[in-house]
Amino acid sequence: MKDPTRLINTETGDALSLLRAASQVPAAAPPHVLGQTLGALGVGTVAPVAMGAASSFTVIKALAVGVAIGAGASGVAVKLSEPKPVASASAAARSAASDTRRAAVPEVPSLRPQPAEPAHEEAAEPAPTPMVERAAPTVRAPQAAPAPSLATEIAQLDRARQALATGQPHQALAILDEHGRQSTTQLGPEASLLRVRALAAAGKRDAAQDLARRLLESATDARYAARLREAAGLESP
Amino acid sequence: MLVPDFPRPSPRERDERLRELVREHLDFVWRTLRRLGVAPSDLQDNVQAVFSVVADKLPQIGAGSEKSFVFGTALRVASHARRARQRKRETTLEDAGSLYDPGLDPEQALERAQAVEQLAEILQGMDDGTRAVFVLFELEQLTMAEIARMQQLPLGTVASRLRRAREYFQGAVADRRLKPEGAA
Repeated sequence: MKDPTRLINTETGDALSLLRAASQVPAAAPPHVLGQTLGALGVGTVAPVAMGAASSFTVIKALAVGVAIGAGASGVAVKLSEPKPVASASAAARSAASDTRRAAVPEVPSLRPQPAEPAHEEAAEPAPTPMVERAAPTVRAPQAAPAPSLATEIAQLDRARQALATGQPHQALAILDEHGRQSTTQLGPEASLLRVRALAAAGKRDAAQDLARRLLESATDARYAARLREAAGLESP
Repeated sequence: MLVPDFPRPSPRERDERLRELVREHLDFVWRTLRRLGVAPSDLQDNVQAVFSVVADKLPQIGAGSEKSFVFGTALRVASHARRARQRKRETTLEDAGSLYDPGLDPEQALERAQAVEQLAEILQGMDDGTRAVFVLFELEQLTMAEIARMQQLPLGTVASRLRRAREYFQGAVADRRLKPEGAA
């Protein structure tokens, strides 16, 4: 029996629009969903080594907490999904947070879960002044400035992470494109790592791996390199 | 599809099999649920719901019928999720964001999300067997022979379900065209 031609190749008008839209939903779940699902089923794998840092199981639990808190606390979900921030990024976050003139790390201290392990300390550090909290909403506005403040950049990457965490990899990529178009950026490595994840989540595994390999050529931080490999699904050397 | 619960595998074998099933079918479940109209914000929970059922029924799922079981479960979970959501009429920007494509402006993205929602509504009106064949053939782009194998159905049954599904789909699209904007 011969298969008929698929409707998407024969229909026109409304029918075609509906079929096209459904065919274009993201083909793959975002990377974190696998770990979360395994964790929820009680068959999550605990990393056998690297106990100095948070185990992957802890990460899964922490992320689940963040997601449960919801979009209102995006900063929390986002930060806990990154238990091992690149040193420059976390240092940058601290310096930006202490700069009250352009303040704006989108943190929600009252909703922040207690850090489970010392590895989370950096991410979970309370914002130093109330002014920072009040100023936070301003960074959620669209960024048009050619040279963003560090705080703005952090907020931008948080938005990308949040998009990724809620299954919107294309949205994350769009935000990262926006970030990349700015004249000077200080969080390039973090943005690149996010881009690898977003590409993988969008089903563009080849592109994710190509980018990761290019980044690995110049990566000097072993932890960053490991995260790149993990994000792209590349084997350890 | 279900086989007697014997011999019983060890807990470790059971866990390993479950992990394998999740790894192999996660993406398939993810996009199937989305296509069936589960909102992006509910996807994660519903993916877990699907695999919770799979975990419960694991001993009874015969080798080779895993995908069929996972898919059938996803269809049921999606129907349930849509009912539980009380049929929200509005497609939100968040839904649109999940379909965001750098080549699309927000309006186009929203249109696309609304189209996913409309198709999901049409699919909801089909009976389970017909909907399954439509999704697998038209969206997942399996061949009829693959569907027959996966669903353990005669090829003729797959063909007739597909025919029915197409008629239903085309009729539903035509009906929609005749209705004024916003009518149920």
